[in-house]
Amino acid sequence: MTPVRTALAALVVVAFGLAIAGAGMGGPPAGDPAPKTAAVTVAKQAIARNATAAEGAKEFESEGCDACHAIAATGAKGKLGPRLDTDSDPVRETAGNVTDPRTDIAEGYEAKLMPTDYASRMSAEEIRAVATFIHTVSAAGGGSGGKKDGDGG
Amino acid sequence: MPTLKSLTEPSHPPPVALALLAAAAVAVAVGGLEHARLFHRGYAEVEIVGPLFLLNAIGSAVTILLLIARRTALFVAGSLAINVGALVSILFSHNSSFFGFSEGGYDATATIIVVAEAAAVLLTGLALVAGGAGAGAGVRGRTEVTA
Repeated sequence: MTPVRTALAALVVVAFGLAIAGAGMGGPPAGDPAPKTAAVTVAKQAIARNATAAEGAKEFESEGCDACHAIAATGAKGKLGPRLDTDSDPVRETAGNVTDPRTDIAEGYEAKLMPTDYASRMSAEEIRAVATFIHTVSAAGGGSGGKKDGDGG
Repeated sequence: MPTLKSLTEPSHPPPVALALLAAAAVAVAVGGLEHARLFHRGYAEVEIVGPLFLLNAIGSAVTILLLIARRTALFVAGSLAINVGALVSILFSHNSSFFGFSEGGYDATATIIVVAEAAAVLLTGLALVAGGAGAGAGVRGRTEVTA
């Protein structure tokens, strides 16, 4: 190999090595801290007691929401969007964020990533169940920002 | 019909093809590095898709090294496989879902990646037409200058 090609190869190895190792890549937005273990247990019990929330938990997973959002009570670890077990919004507002995710963007997160077609691929009941699930987790103490007396929709 | 041995031997494509291949390599590098960046920006947690982002970055690095080592046929194969695969994947993730993962729009990084991958496919294809992958046989035995 000529010295030029050797230098090029070294440059490629170093540049990709650093990028793959994550050096200088910043990492995902810090977001809210995960809730404590006791709060997660309370949140799990709250989901089990609320049939709509339990249905919403299933929809949350089947619609792939867990790929981007974290909820400790269900083991969802997504980091592309904000964690939702600290979401203190009422059910109606959360449901609105599902159907129209571009209007209220959490600080530090990308505005365009979340699909905008949930209103067409999910029924109103399913969206409401997901919103109820999120609100139930937060209100149960799954997140520090959870309301204890949310409006329930 | 090229043999496996001829494909893995160093080749010396015409200058035009080599320039196109070099430009394609730059596009492959941009796409690969952006995939590595996105992997560390949150995609690492996405099942299947996250590891594929990392694989894209590693594959891009190996592909570029193959061009530097004058294995142009392998570079062409790698460039087309990685970039056509990534373009199809991103189309699926935006229009239905890709391994259960779907996205809603193209942010700045996604736009850079799509443009880089499309450019890589186009440049690699043009290089192929200009004889970029098949110039090995005619120069077999040529002594490499190692100045």
